[in-house]
Amino acid sequence: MKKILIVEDNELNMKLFFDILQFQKYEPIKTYSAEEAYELLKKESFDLMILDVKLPKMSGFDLLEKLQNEKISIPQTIIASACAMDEDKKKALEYNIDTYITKPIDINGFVKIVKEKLNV
Amino acid sequence: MDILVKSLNLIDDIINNTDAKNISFYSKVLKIMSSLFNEASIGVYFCENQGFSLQGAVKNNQDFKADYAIDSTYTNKFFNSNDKVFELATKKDDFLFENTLFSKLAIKESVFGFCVLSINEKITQDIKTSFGALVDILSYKIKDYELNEVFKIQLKALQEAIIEKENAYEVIKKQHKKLQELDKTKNLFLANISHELRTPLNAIIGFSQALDNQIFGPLNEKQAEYIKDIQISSLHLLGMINEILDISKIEAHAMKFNPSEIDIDMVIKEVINILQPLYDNKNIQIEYNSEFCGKIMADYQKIQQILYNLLSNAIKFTGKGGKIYINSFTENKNYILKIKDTGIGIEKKNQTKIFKKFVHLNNLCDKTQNSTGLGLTITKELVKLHNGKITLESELNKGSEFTMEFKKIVV
Repeated sequence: MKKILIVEDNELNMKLFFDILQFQKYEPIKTYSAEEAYELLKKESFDLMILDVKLPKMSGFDLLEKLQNEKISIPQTIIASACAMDEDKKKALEYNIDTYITKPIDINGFVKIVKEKLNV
Repeated sequence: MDILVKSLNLIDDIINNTDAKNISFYSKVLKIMSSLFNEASIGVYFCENQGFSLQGAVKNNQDFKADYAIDSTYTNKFFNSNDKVFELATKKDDFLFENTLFSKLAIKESVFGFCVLSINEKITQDIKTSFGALVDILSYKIKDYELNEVFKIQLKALQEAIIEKENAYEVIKKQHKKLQELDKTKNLFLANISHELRTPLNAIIGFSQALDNQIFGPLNEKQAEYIKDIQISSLHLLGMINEILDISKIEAHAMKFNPSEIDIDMVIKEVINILQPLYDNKNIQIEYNSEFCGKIMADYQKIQQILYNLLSNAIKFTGKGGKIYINSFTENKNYILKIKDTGIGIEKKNQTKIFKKFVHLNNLCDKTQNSTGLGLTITKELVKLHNGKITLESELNKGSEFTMEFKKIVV
């Protein structure tokens, strides 16, 4: 079963991602902060990461920066953020992340993107 | 010395006596005049409401406090005569000396007072001429002095007005700065609030979509209908939140422009597809006529939004069974897009208004469909970002046609 790490601080959004991914027969893992995700990423590897940008304390980009600096491998990542800021999209590209979805997400589109990412 | 020559010298003195002020001014001039004679008294009277008032008097070259009013029998005789200088036969008791001369203080025909000279010497023609000339000069001096005073008052008023204006300008400048800051705060607030509003919407739209897909089990007919209603309303809300976010970006000049080569034909078809539920619902036909299938240099998302805004407006304001035409073509490297509807149209007087913020035209307002009133403002700004312009041709009850012309964006 493919392991997918979700980094999302909003309880309901987390539930939505989790339920959909579980229903699609993936193994979603919940983390509510970048710090929590960082601890897991140090120990385990994941097939995919769904990453929110605006998080308490450390942001999604801070997490990517920290992982890169400490040479911890970054899994394939889909950034899911409520802010559709163009600067953020550019920033994501710096970490070779070209998949950026804007909340509110379209469920069907989201499932399709996850499938594509995992089949590569 | 001859009195004419003496008085000629005096004229110089009087003319140069420019810094004279009030009572001392008359006194100075009168002293100068009285120096012509061994013994003399001179008084200056000004016309007042009904009669005359003494403004200054000199006796034997000294300031003289005369407090008597001149008998009106003398002044009547004098004012009834046309003489420039009038010699009066007087009783010695009434004046200080034996012989008395009157002369009008006047500028041209306008008399404003008179001057009285009383001396012991016999009055000669030379004395009359000299006195007449001196009183004339005195007249001009007095008027000059008065005008000077008026001028000074007006100058002061002007200076005060200027200062007042400058102060007002400073206040306006300060207020303007304050408003600009407030505007910034407002835009930041709007950007933040719309971001915050999207987060719970994500859950609403996501969960209702999950139910709609029936992935967790079947729904009955009513449940399916309600879920659809929730989805439509949340998409509507999302659209409005996006508009607020857009307008705050536009106003903060933070709207980014990311051009790339895009297949415009594909974008138009995409938007037509997205809107299908809306126009099918009203049985409206969209006729898309594309003469151009190449690529243009444009911001994909923004072109999509322009099309979405204009087409959804066209659908909104076109009656059931109506038609909408889309024409896409090029003209010397310029790309032109026309969207025409057969809707209710816009009156001439309202045609420039509709691009302004928060405008809802009463006759156009579809009561069942609320909006932010920002759609066309945003559309115009997005067209502007592409260095293009948008124009409108419309006739009430016949329809509207929006034409966009994008300069030199054809690849």
